[in-house]
Amino acid sequence: MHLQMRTITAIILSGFAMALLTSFVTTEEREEKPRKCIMMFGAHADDVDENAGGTFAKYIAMGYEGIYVCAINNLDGCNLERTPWYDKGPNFTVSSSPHKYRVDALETSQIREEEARAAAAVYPSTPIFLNYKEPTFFIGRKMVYYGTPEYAAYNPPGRPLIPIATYMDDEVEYVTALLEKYKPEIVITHTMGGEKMDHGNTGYMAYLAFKNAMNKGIPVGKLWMCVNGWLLDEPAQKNKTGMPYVQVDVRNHLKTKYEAINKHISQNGALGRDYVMGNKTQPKEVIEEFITVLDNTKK
Amino acid sequence: MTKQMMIRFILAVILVLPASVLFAQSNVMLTGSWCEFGDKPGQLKFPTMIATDKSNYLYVVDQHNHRIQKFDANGTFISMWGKQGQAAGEFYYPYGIAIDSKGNVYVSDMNNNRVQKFTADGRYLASVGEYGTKESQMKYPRGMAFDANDVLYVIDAYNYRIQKFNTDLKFISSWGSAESIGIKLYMPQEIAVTKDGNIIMSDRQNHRIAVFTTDGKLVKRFGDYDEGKNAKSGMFSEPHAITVAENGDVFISDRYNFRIQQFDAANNYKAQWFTPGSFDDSKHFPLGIAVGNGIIYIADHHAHKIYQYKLAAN
Repeated sequence: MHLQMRTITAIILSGFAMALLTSFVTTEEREEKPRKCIMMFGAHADDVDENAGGTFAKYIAMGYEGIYVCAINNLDGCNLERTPWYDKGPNFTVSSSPHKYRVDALETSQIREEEARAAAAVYPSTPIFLNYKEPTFFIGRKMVYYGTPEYAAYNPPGRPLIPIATYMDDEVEYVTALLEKYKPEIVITHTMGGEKMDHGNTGYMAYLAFKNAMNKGIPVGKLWMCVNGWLLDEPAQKNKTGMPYVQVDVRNHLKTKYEAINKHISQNGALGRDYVMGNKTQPKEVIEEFITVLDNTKK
Repeated sequence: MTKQMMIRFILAVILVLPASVLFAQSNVMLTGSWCEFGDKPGQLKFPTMIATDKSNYLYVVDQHNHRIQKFDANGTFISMWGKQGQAAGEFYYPYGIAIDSKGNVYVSDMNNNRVQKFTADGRYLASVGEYGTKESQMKYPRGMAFDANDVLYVIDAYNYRIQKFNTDLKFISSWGSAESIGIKLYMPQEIAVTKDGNIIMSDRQNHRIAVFTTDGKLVKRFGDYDEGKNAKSGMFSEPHAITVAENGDVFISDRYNFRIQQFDAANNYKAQWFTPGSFDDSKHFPLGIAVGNGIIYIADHHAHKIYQYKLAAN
């Protein structure tokens, strides 16, 4: 009997001890700092590089882990009028077709994902594809829009459209889980509003997930949004809404940025595309600018 | 009938006569079509490649239903297998199909980055592949073909190579690379074996056809870009599928010219015919092609149909 009482007491005491320990660990977890990790949420395959490639390269060079997130599954936007090996003849010839060779949704998605993987490797960083559906794509040479019978019939692969996903708790949790996994000190994304739907909503999704992470005590650092879209318009600049809080000197990292951009061969006319196509003109980028939208480091 | 009436009559006949009939006088005739959009047995969603076996059954890659369907030569539904998924026997946007000498069916399971092997009635036998660049790994496999020795050739699209496997799906060898194949082919889609044992591929975005030896040496190329109702014979606008008949004739689906072109074994142009719905690329898109027992089958990717043409005995 005495033995039983002692056993019960021991169990109760060890239960208390465990509870105390758990509470201690939880507090410790809450006080855990973000990791030296920079995570960029781009809408499409080349948006990481185009919008913040210099900053991404700079922080990775400083020892940060780079997480290259592509939110949309890139069913649209593939031009194949030039091959990646166009300048390595002599066996290759560019045909005289006037068409820009839009390719079908599945193939576009595959090509652009491959390009994104190649770009992510340049920094180097880890590519992650969230696979949210693109609202447009081509079947043959016909553009198909979300909501049309053709879109429904094709039923392309992917998670919901990202503007719809921002309404869905499960989807916000899905993105939050990514923040929980990497605990990034810096998260960069598109500005909300004033940009293309997919860009703005990628920004909004990242914003929702970041706030959710903060509320859950997940150690995330700062959320930066690129100074683009409406933030560049005169009123926003005049009243300083569009004035950047963060300016990153990227002049020593432009080579990496352009090398990454140049992996997106299918993006006709893109910055890197002009560069890779031979004119070698580099824009006079010295800084990349951001607005700090959420700061979890100030408590 | 006055001369004017006669001219009007001739003009009317020319205008109402379907293009397929005009070309049919060469050596083919449209003899049937089947399927419609849907997910029931016998219905299709965006079919891609097709193949016939020795018993003249037709196997269709029903891409957006993530399954294979089997029909007899007249289009009667026989069986089907597969559904969307990653498990054995499931598919995620399959693309190509090939049949070995014993009648087993091989499917390139494109977005699962693998090739799966089945019996003729769809029982799963084996699989090879996962995403990657090593031997037996793949990046979005496309068209496939068997040679006379039952060696399977697979277009490993974004590794820019051809991988060769035996009928147990054991890796034999590969040839090609971004530098060697990439500059010679641009988005190759379908592959076949010629009567003299070479490998023929559609070099789609270069609008031409390339012939290689079985170990990857370029033998020749033919074709260039031309498009429209008056596109020259032997020219292409995104040639897609290729099949080789027993006599060595090569049939190629010339997708944005909405026609099939026929070449002899030496790749000399022989004939052509328009496929239904010519030049309406919002509704039609000739893609897969197969030949068996004097019959040519075409899979229309957009119309979700199979067309059957009878070859004249020439």
